[in-house]
This record gives sequence, structure tokens and C-alpha cells, in this order.
Amino acid sequence: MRKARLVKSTVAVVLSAAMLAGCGGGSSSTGGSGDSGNTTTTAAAGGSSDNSGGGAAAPEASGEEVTISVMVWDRGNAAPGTTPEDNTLTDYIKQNVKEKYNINVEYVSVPRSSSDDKVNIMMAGGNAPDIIFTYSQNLFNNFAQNGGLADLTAAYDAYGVNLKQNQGEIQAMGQYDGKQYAILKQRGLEMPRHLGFIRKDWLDAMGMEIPKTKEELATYLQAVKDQNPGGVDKVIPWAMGGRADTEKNYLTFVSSYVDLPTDKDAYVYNEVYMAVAPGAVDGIRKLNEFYNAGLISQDFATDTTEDIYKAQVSAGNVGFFVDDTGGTSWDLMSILYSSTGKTAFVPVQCFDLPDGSYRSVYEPRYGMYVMVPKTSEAKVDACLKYLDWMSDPEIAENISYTPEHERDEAGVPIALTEAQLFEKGYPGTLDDLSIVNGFLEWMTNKDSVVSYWSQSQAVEWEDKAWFENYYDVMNVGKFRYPTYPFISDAEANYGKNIEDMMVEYVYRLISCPTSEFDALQQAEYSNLQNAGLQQILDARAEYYDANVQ
Amino acid sequence: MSTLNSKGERRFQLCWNTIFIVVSIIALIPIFRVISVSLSSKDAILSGKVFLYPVQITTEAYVRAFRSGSFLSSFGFSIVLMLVATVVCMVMTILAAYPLSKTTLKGTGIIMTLFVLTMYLDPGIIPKYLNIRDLKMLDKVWALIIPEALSAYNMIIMCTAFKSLDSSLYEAAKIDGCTEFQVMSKIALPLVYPTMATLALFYAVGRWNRLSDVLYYVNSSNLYTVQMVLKQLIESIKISQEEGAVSQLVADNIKSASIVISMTPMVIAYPFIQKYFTQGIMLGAVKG
Amino acid sequence: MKEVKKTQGGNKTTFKVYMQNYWQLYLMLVIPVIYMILLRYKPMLGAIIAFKKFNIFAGIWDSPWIGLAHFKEAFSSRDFWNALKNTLILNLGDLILGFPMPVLLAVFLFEIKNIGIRKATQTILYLPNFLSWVIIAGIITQLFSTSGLVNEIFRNMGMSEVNFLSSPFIWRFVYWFSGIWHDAGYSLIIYLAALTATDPSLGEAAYIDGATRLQRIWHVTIPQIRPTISTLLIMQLGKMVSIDFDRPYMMGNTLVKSASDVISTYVYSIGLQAARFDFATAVGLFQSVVGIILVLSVNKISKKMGEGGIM
Repeated sequence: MRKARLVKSTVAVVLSAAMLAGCGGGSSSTGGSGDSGNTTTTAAAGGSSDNSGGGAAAPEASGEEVTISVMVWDRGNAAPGTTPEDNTLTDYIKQNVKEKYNINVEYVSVPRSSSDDKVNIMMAGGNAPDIIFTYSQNLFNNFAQNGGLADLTAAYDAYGVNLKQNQGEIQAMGQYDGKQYAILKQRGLEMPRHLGFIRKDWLDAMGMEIPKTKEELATYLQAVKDQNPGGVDKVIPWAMGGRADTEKNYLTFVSSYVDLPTDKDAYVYNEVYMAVAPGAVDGIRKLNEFYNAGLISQDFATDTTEDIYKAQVSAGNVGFFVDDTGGTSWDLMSILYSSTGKTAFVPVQCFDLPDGSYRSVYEPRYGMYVMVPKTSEAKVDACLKYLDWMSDPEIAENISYTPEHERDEAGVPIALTEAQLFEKGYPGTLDDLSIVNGFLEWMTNKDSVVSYWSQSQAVEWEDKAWFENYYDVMNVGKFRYPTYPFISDAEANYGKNIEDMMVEYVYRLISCPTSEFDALQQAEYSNLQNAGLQQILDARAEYYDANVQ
Repeated sequence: MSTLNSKGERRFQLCWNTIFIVVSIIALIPIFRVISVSLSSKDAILSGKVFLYPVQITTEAYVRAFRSGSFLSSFGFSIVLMLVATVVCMVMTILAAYPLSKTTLKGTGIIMTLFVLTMYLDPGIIPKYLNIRDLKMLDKVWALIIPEALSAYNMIIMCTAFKSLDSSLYEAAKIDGCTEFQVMSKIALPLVYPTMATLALFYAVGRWNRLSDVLYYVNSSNLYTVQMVLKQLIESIKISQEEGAVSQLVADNIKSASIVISMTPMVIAYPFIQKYFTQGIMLGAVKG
Repeated sequence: MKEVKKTQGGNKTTFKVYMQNYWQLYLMLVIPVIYMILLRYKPMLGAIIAFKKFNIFAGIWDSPWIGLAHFKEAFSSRDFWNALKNTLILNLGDLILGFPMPVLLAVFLFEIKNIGIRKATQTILYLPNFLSWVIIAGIITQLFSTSGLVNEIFRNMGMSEVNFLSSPFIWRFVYWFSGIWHDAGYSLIIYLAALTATDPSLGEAAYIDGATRLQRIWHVTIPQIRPTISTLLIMQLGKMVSIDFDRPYMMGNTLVKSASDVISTYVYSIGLQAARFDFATAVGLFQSVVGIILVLSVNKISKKMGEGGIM
């Protein structure tokens, strides 16, 4: 009696709550198939035990059957009806790897924007996939140092034939204590990190040549301010943004004041610590001078989203800017081009070093660290076979451009448009599945690269000659900082914070009144020192002395 | 009633109506902007021409967002998940809040204190993750429902609502021989419908917007909520830095279109929830 | 002995009667309490990594102890105290400027007779809550930067520019008002729900008594939502040393760091960014302890003042 009543009242509670929630599906319909991954494995296990008496499949062709799980990035751009783990491209890979090595591949998706966090957490929980990757040297080092990674040395020697041939020279970065703990992915097309752009039409209007030195640039900036050659509303000679996470707007300029007489200096200060390298303060002082003379966007430091900066550049109010190579800067210029219909910005290299040469900083050739967790030690061989297969340039091209791609007459693979990809069930970012080899043969050839660029414009905004010039300018003073597989404790713990603080340091110095510059510089610099800057630099110098010379 | 129609009253109504309309317009500015951006062309946005009204109107962004496979499927999943989670949360909240609102019940003080303290405790992500793993919930839909099934904040609000009810109502019912469950479901709950509706809304919105559990507790992308998919679309700035210059940024209009789409279910559902606000008045009036 | 037994026996019978009346209430509490222990308190055991050098592969229990090193590091850092100070200032402003706003809105909205406006306002004010701080920060830059819309208007009116975003002092007000903009709708709904459940006959009685509107609001309406106000106030006071990450991080810029560096951003830059979970947990533990002390004392004070506390 009482029980019945109790049940009744409980039901009443649940019902009234359910009604509130909008008369939705009953509480038992929990939606998605929660454990699709698990089902596959259990089904496979069950199947094999059932068949154990009869003729086992056909594994003898290429060794024992192994199943490996591989991380794959989810960027929210899978084709309709597919997932990042399961689509036409993953099918292609699975099928080939199965045929060749009898390895079953399963994918585990990891959200791109929080990838490192998620990998960290999965490692802490001991349930990371068998192949994981990151761009962070810090994370790799942390894992290797704390014994979380499987030693790949033997397997790399045994199965890394393609890897050694194609990506051999960059693999030293994946070592820790003399053992290979990561396979490095080779980056694609080589480009400098940042590039400057100047208004060619304004130069012409004022009868000036493209500047070759900082001094000529300064003359140009002043002339732009004084003469406003474009007759625009509010002319900004040099536009900057205030994003707190990048040094792109100022670093090339500032570092041109830094002399790097030895390899050791280049290693110690690297690109990261350029803003505090000897001489850099003169560059910042110069920028402060520009700022106070009204040559730099006056409210750049508060423009943290860059919206104002981007709007000014694309509206044609800007005489000069430095930005990341490719990407956004092209978008901005193409908008300007489509509204004026003629060439406006051209790339320029005018940040001369003390000795008159140039230093255009390129990304290192290595990119991503591909690792196998300690918990997957038993599958190291299979993982290396998988990676080695992908290193083959032909396979890499098939993954990055789909197996059904074609090439144009310049030998450049023709990329499918997003609509074509989606129609055939390919993911939006094919490159995400090619995790060791991003560098294809055509990327070594100027004509191919130029043809690739000019074809990949969404709207035709410049002719081939512009891109040829772009290629030439970006190759002036090509320079790479030396890198070593080492990261000190100080750098691991405080490096990221120092990087953010250095951006703050430069922004504040650029935009302060000239009279306060020195005092502010000393105060801010001592903040950096307190936060651990000197320890980091010392550790780098110490490492260099001990291990390189 | 004459005062209600007096001149002063009319002036008051006019004045405050105006104030609320102005306040609403101010609150709407960001929404207008997001909608305008979602309907503008990428070029117009980049060149800063869009502020409150769309420029070079195009629905391209919506077409693209809908075409992206993961967006639509995760949308359906998110709605089902939100409904289920809201039911679970409301049941839990009422189960805790009703007994704890009885000041005569022994032990409520200490239990209440323990609940309140949970608001100020944060063990950090790793212990939380390991706990979910130990409870065997990783990569299961439960991981998106159970961990946040009871918010102490909402429970306390519910509790305050119960406490503010006239206790004589209960006693009358108890004398009639009703059990506690019956008193709760027949008398107490109908009187706090407005608060229940509010909390259901909060739970629903909370579930709809919450990301961290989707990010850490599940792997299969078919358990991704729509907000998770959006986050992937929106946060591409840092990524382009790591991967080098080649990767493309997602245009602002697509981001905004995604936000508009993700807000729509809430905006549609809201008037239905509002209904319960007036219902509370009526019930209260009947009882009174 | 005997006496004790006797009283126990006596207690038992009263206990039986008591349980007969109340067992259902205890039954209701079973699931929530189990939930609380398993999902809220059990993971707190993991917070001992605040006293350890946490190695994610060794796990929580096997990582080596390092005592109070993380706390010492935080407490000896000027940045930490600066972040704590800013957290308190920003939260205090939210309390003073932001807390009364929804009460005010709710009370006056309740007076509005036009149901359409009432419902629309309530819905609209809740909408900004859906927008993330990235978006709001973008809009604020466009409005308030020196080349933004507001300064444009100022210039056209012949007034001088205001550095809304680069002066730490003024930036704080931008921060506080954006908080009202974003969050007022949320508490507004709670108050409106509480008001809706109140007895309208009381207000009408006051009309007949000839009370002015303000008198009526003060003596009739406000007391009816007073428990809700004090509940929300106590909970917010307990959160004085905690602060959301996105809002200060997205709204801040390098020129106002002296005002926008708060505990959450400090933990992010020194701890989480470098995957130092142990350090982040140590700061989190400090915040928990302060939060608990605050909420317990405020609750006590509130009870002494006859407001009735939340526990």
C-alpha cells in the first residue's frame, strides 16, 4: 500500500519535472551511441573466439593482427554524414594499412582547439590513444622526462625506412636522453614567419622607390603622414594590432637591431626572446619614436581582437604593415584589390641588419611531435609501420589531396574544393590525417609554388608576377634559428608566461610617452627578470656550452 | 482601483515602459551585431563596414554552417541531451531542496552546509577526470549528465522558494493524511512553478552551453554537442600560429551564423517557459 | 548505566515517531547525498596534489610530496598579491554596481502593467547571457576604443577623447558595466520568479491603504523577495576571491594589465599554460578555503541580523 503510494509520488515528481523540460523524450532515450569504440573491440574479440576452431582469416600475409588507435583532430568540419573518425579518407588509410601490414586502425577524435589539454588529461588517465601528437615542445619534453612515452629507437631503426629517407634530418628533435621518443612531422611549404607589405601605388604617387633600409622606410612613413598620397580619411602610416598572443606586428623590425655574432647567441635568444636580446631596446625605442610622431596606429594596444587593424588595412588607409605570411594578410589585400582594382600592397624587405644584410626568419623544418604513450609500448612496432607508410611522398600526397586527386601541368596537385570534398565524404582538413610528411616535391620548385598560389586565390586578385615577386622577396635573407631537443625547467614552467609578458613589455614601451620610456623599460624589464627570464636565458647558454660546442 | 488608472500611474507606466524599451535595445545591440555579421559578406566584415546592420547581405554563412555534417547531427544530439539532462537535474534538485527546506528536519543543517561548500570547492580538472574514469563514465553519454546533475546554487534557490511557502498549507494536507511525497507533489511543487521553470531554464541553458565536460569526458565525436562543434569553428587563431601560415581562418560570418543558430532553440523555448510564471500567480491567487 | 539506557529507550520511541513522520524526507535525500559525496567530495581528495610535485604518470597518490612549496611560490610572488587585489576590486565593483541592478529591474518590471513589454524585456535582457566574452569584447573595442563609435560621438560634440580601454581606472567601469549588460538578465529571472510567487493581494491592500508607490515597493514588494536577495548576496559574497577567466582575459589589454590581471589569469599564465596542475590546484585550494570562510561567516552574520542565512 505504502509502496504503491511511494512509487506513485515518485512518478509524479519525475513527470512534473519532465513536463517542465518541454515534454521531451522520456528519460531513457539517452541519444548517441555512447560506446561505439568499445563495441568494435568487444565485437572483434567475441568474433575471434567464436571462429577459433575454423580457419582463421588471412593474417599470415604480413604478421599478426594488431589494432592501433590513432588520434585525429576534430575541427568541426567533417563532411555531412561523416565524422572525423570515419570518412572516405580514413577508410582509404584503414584499408591500405590493413592490406599492407594487417594492422587495424581506429581513430580517436580530439578537439583541435584544446588538443594539448585533452592529450594531457588522457595521458593522466592512462587512456590515451596509441598515437598522439602535439606542436608543443614543452608537452613532449614533459612526457619524455616523466617517463610517459614509449621508446621508439628500436622500432624506428627497424621500420623507419621511409622516415629516415624523407624526414631523417629533423628526427634529432624527437630525442630525449639519447633515445627516440617522438617522430617529427615535417612542415609543408617553407615560408618566413612574418612579412612586411607596403603601398606601391603610394610610393609611385610620391615618386619614391621601394625602401631597402629602415631609414628609407622611416622617410616613407613620414611622407605618408605628411602628404597622405591616397587622400584617405584618416591615414595610418604603419598599422598594428594589439593581440596579446603574437609578436608578429613588431618583432621583425625590433630584431633587426639585434646582432647575432655567434650561433650561441642565435640559440640563446632564439626568435622567442628577441625582444630582450642585446640591441632590441633600440628597435623598440625607434618604434616608440614612430608612435609618438603619429606614424603607428594610436590605439593599437587596445585593439586586442585586431578588428580595427584589419578594417584599416583592407579599407586602404594604411601605408605599411607587417603580418604573418600568407593567410590573413592575403585576405586583407585581396579585399583592397577588389575595391580599387589595381595593385596596392607589395611585399617588402627593408629591415636591414647592422651589417646591411637581412634576416628573414623561417619556421624550423620540424613541426609536430608524434608520440606513442608508455601504456601502448606493446604496439610500438605497429605504430612505426603506420607512420613509415605515411612518410612515403606518394602516400602523403594521396592523403593531403585525396587518393583521387590530379596534378596540373606544373606538377602541382590540384586541391579539391570544400564542396567537392564534402560531396565525396572527405573531411574538410585533409592534412590532419597526414601526420609525418607535409613536404611534397612540388614545394621545392618556384614555378610550382607560384602556380599553386595564383590558382588557390578564391577571387583573382593578383597576377602571377605579383606572386613571383612575393616568392623572391620572402627568400631574401632566409634564416633559421638553431634548435636543440632541450628545454630547461625554468623555460618549461615560466616560458609561456614570459612570452606573454614580453608582448606586453613591447606594447607598453611603444605606446608610452617618450620621456617615460627609460624608466618604464627598466621597470618592465625587471618584472621580466623576476618572472624568470634570466634563468631561462642562462639555462639555454649553459646547455649550448655543455652540449653543442 | 482608482489609483491604478490615475494620471500619476499613467505617467509612471509611460516612463518605465520607455526605460525598459531603451534598456532592451541596449541589451540587444550585441545580438543585432551578431545577426548582422552572420548575414554580411566576409569582405565587408573584414573591412570593418558592419556594425549594426548587415552589409552585402548573403546567407552563405548559414548555408555553410548547415552543410557542415557535424553541425546538424550534433544539433539534434544537443537538444535530446539538454532535455534529458534538465529532467535529471530538476529531479535531483527537488529531491534535495524539498527536505532541506524543512527546518524541523534533523540533520538538514549539516547536509545543507555540505552542499553549500561544494560551490567553493574545485579539485581541478585532473582529479575530476580520474573520478569520472573510476566511475566508468568516460566516453558515455552519462558523463555529460551526471557530473553536473545538481547545482548547489540552484538547489539553494529552490530551497528558498520552498521555505517562503506558507507552512499552514502543509499542515492542513498532513492532517488530511497525505504523505510527504504527496504534500510535495500536490501542494508544494505547483506553488513554486515559477522557480522551477527558472531553474529548468538555467539547467537547460547550462547544459546547452557547457563545454568542459564534452571536451574532456568524451572522445567519440557523435557525443559532441553543438557548442563543441562551434568552438572548433571559432577558435582557430592560435592554431594557425602553430601550424604555420598556410591554414585558413574561418570567416567571421560563419562564426556568427553558428552563434545565431545555436541560440535559436533557447529563444524559441523561452516563451513556453514564461507561461509557468503567470501560472504561479493564478495558483497562488486560487489558494489565497 | 541504567539511566542512560532508559533515556536511550525513551529516545528510541520518540525517534520512531519522528522517523514515521519524516522517513520519506530522508529517503529523498539519499540520492542527492550519494551524488554529493561521489562527485563533489571524492574528487577533492585529489586536491592533495597541491602539496605534491605532481607527475601525471605516477598519479595522484604516488607523486612525491613537496609540502608547501607551491603555496610559498604563490604567496611570495608579487603578481599573486596583485592578482588577488584586482580580483577583490573587480568583484567588489560587481557587487556594488551589479548586484542591485537586477533587483531594481525586477521590482520595477513587476510594476509594469503592459504584459507585452514585461515579457519582452525579460526575454531580451537574458539574451546577452548567451554571448561569449570574446564576442562582447570585440563589440566593446569597436564602441569604446579611441577611434570607436563613442569617442567619435564625443569628438563631434566637441568633447575630448576618453581612454576607456587604456586607462586602468576607467577600464574597470567598462568591465563592471559590461558585466551588468551580460549578467543582469540572469538574476532578474530569479527575482521575477520569486515575485511571481508572492501574494498580489498584499500589494493591493497597500493601495487601498493609500501608500505611495515607493512605500509600497519598500514595505511590501522588497520584503517578499528579501529571502531571495539575501540568499544570492551570501552566495556572491562567498565568491569574492573567485573570478571567471574569460571576462577579464578577453576584455583586458596590455595597457590595463595592472587592473585586469586577476587570480584566474594568474593561474592560467603561471600554472595551466605550462601544465602545472599542482600549482593551479594549490591556488584553487587557497581560493576554496577563503571562499568557505567567507560564506560561513557571512551566513552567520546574516543569521544574527535575523535574515536567516542559507544553511
